[in-house]
Amino acid sequence: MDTSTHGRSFDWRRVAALVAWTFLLVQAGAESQEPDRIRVTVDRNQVALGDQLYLTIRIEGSPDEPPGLPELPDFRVLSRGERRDMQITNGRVSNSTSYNYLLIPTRAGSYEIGPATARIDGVEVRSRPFTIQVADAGGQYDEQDRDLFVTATVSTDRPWQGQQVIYAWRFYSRVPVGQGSIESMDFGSDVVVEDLGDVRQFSTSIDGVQYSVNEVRKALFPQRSGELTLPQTQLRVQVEVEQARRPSRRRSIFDDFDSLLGSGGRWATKYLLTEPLTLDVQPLPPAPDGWNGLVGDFEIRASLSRRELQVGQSATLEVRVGGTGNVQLLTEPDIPELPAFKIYPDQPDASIDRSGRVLTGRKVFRRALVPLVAGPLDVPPIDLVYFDPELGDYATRSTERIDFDVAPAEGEEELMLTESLAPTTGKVAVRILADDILPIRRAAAGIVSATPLGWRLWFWFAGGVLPPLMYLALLARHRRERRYAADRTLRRRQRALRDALSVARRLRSGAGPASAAEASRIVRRYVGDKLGVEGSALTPSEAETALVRAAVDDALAARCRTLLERLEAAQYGLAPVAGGGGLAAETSTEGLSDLIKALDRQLRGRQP
Amino acid sequence: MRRVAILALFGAAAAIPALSQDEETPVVTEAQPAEGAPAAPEPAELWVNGNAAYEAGDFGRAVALYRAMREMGIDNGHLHYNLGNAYLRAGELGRSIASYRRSLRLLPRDEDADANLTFARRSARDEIAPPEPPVLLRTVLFWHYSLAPVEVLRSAVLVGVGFWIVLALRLYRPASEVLRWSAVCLLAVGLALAGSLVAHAAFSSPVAVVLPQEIDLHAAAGEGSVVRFQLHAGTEVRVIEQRPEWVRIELPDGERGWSMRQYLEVVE
Repeated sequence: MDTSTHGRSFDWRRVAALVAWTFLLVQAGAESQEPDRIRVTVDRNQVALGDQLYLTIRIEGSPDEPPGLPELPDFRVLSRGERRDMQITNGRVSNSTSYNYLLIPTRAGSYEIGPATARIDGVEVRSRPFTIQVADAGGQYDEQDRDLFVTATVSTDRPWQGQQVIYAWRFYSRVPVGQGSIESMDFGSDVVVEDLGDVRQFSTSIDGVQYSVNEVRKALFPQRSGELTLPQTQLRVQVEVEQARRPSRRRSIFDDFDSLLGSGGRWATKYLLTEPLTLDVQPLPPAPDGWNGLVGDFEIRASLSRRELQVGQSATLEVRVGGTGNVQLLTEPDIPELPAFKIYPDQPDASIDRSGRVLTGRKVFRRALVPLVAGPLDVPPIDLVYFDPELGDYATRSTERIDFDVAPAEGEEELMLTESLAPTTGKVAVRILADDILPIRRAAAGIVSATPLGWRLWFWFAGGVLPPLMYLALLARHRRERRYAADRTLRRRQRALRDALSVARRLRSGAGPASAAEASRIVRRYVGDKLGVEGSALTPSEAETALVRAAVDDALAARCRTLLERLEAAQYGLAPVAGGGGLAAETSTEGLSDLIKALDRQLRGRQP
Repeated sequence: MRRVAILALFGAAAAIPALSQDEETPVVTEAQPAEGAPAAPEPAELWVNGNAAYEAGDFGRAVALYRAMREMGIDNGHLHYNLGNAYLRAGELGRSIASYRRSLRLLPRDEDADANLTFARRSARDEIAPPEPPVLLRTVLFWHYSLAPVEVLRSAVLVGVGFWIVLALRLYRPASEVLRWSAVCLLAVGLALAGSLVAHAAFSSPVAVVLPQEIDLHAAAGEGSVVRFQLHAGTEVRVIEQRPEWVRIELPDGERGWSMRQYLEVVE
């Protein structure tokens, strides 16, 4: 088939070559862009020992996992977190992640920082390498470094296993410093560490230059023989690197105020590292009998509280062991058998002094000895075996033999076994081995409600309400009695109507003179009670007069007088009680009640 | 004087039931069903069977029986104490602490309940001190925290009876200084007793105990709200607000949060 156009034939090989070149160029371009997806930068590439620099790994996109750091054997690397950024450009969203690290050089030199690697969407990307210069003490930062440095020393670099090694860390400064902290002082599990007091501060002069020194001391006890490396100790401290107001390096009295108020100078964080130290720990020679691990310089003493005693009396044997070295291992030395004694051990008294320049300590062991036989007795020498690093061999120290006389017991006196073992300071607290809840209740109180219910509730309610009501009733009665006592006619006045009506109800109406006499007595008694006079002695006229004085209507008073007169007449047979013109109506219960009520209505409330 | 004697007799009669409440009660060892007893179990039967279930290690059944007594209206410190034991053995720390708290409210001088509450609190995970009244308040109102509410109430009634009796005697011996000062003292004691009850009812906050192993405390009353912090079983906190389904609590450091009511047991 002819594929030519305008007389030229189509060259398939040229087209294929063009496509291939285009693909290669695109691929090369893509590969050249690959490193840009991960970039490693530092804030500076020239630093001095004791200084630090920040390294940032920036990755475009979201990595599958945190990036792999390049090999940095001569730097301490501290992570300072990560940050994610998002940008929107022309409607296109892009993400990036930055990982920050702090690098602290541990050695001077020129270092090539190799490529960091990361995996993005399954594709591994690498950064470009670069170089960092670290100047040493003789470099351009020499003067600055000598303002501030740290040292670490040991009392011996060839200790014996278990020997006390004093590790002294010192921070020298002759410039204002702020807060500082030791970030790492870890000696590993092959070394037992004991702190020796707090941080000591003092001044010293080095080559004529005055330094302020902070010293930390620790007692180290290597636990195995061979080479032991004490790692670097790192200090982080704030240092004033620029004084804005007084550029002079000479300190003045204002410096203290500046540190308090802020001088406007610039402060920077410094990381200072000590050199690693190596201990060549020598193994201990084969141990003799009686050695319990003590390495150092120790002594032993023994004493008895009394030299003269009787059988059955007790004396306290005190054995003091102490010295310098691994005093944590101080144990009671082997005390020879004392068959002539009954022995009561006591708690030991221990003390370790960490405030000095070395670790010292002592332990006091006490035993109460009660001689069982009379005669001359003794406590044989007690040996203490320890390894002496100065000698390079084991040493033994012994107490002196203690002789004393024991007299026979007097009479039948009982054994005195209660002599004080004091001073006893090592008392042991009772240790609770296990605990549990207390058992359930079975008493019948469990089925009774604590809150009053039913009649009990009403009982207590009544107990709260009734007493005040009863008191009020009693008070009212008490006041009334007092009024009666003050006014003797009061009771008669108040009861006049009730008494009169009561008697009138029992009146035998319609009977003869007896009824008239009783009716007359009722009326006169009422009038007398009501007016405060003796009623039975009243004549009809006196009754009328008294009633009129008491403001009773004349007609009613006259009616009362007339009734009394007629009753008197009837009483003595001068007038009929019943029949025509008789008194039956007046002497009836109703008649008398009406009259008395009429009188009472007008006399109510009136004083006699 | 005869009337005064009647009043005094009334006061003495009022005191007798109060004293008899504190007497030792016999131990119930076996249920005594009455003749023709109804189908519903008697409280004594529930009590005995609950104790037997507890002794047999069937703590779930013991809880159910003790709770049945509670639903019958029986409310006393001994029942709450046993309920607390059963809950604790059954592994329900929060409910056991709530029961011990109720027991101590009704039997404030009960050393066993106090010891068991202390034991249970050791199992609580959160390092939060249980809400307690201020020391000053506990010192000033010592009687209130040493006596059960019903004891305070009875004491107030008895003191009130004594006060009215003394007042009555003063009607007949108004010049007696002894009676006068007795009345003043009784009035002061009675007001203090009654006042502490009223003050406690008016101002004290309920306490809530966390029931599940872990609960979320929200910033607002709603499950969609931000979870501010978490609490764990057995933690006791002060309740400052209650709604039908949500409870707002406050920690000793002032932090506040809302929890669903079902996760807390509120002890009034």
